[in-house]
Amino acid sequence: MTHPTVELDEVIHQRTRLGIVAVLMEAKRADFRYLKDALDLTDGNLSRHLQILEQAGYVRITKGFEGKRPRTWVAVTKLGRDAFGAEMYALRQIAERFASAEVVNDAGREPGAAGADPLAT
Amino acid sequence: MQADEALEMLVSARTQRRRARADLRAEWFPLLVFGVLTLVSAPLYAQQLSFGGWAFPWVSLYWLVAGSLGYVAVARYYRRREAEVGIGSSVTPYVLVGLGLFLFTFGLLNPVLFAVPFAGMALLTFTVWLIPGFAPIVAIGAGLVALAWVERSLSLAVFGACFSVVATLSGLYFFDNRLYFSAWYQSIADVTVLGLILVSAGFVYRAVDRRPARARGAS
Repeated sequence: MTHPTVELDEVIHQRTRLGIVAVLMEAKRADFRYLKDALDLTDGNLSRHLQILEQAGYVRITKGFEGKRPRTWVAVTKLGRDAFGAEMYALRQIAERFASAEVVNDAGREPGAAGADPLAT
Repeated sequence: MQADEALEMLVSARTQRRRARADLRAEWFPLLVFGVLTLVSAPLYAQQLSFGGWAFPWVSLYWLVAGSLGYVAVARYYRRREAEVGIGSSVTPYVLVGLGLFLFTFGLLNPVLFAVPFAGMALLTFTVWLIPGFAPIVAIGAGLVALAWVERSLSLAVFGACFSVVATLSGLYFFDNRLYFSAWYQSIADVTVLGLILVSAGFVYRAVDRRPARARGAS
């Protein structure tokens, strides 16, 4: 059985990029400014992460105008949705492994030993 | 990778999704629109009073026009909101389901459904005889359930389902007592109450609407 970390996708595993795709998972599309505000990023930082996601085929970027104002819309692709789902699954697996390891460790400790749960009987 | 880091990333992603969902929601608008339309329709139910037969179905005509315009208004509002807030969900399924239900309640789809044995007859009975005048209001509630699915709002799903049940019960009460004039007047009161329920729910959702500050300022 492979360790869940093997299944982690380096593109989407990065915290900011995971946040971008998380927002897009809920929406049909979001604009550049919304993503910038929601994730508290600078223009340059967001652009760089979007470029990486676009190159991986995880997001689709559409540029247009609303009146005279340029507007950039970002939407998640099917590939991006799948990658996000796989990443969430892998993260949950890691967290669950940790939780079960904790239980095993706690069970192995003697009552009263350092680190043991003082309330355990 | 450490497990606590994985847990932190899971929580962070969930928080982002929850915020985006909150920014997307605008249930209050369709609730207010259809609440007002329902209230305006109430006097028309009085015109259904007739001696010795069915009067011209003004209520049906009203709902056919006003209901369709209501969905157009909702679609336009969501599009405008998307431009203001910078994030948008696809309300097309809600509008399609809502309009489909309206057409269904007017029996426009019945000729097609008649192709299925018994189903067509059952639908015709439901839409024309069982709850005359109330079917469009039941359709509004069912449409709200579709909107709840789009917006992933459990509270709206529960509200829409309960509203549909109450509207259906009002229609069934009317059908049982349709030979008494009091039932006709009762139907006017029922429609008014149903409209007030929608409007009230609209105001409640409006109060808890969590749009970003910049979008609030823009609107």
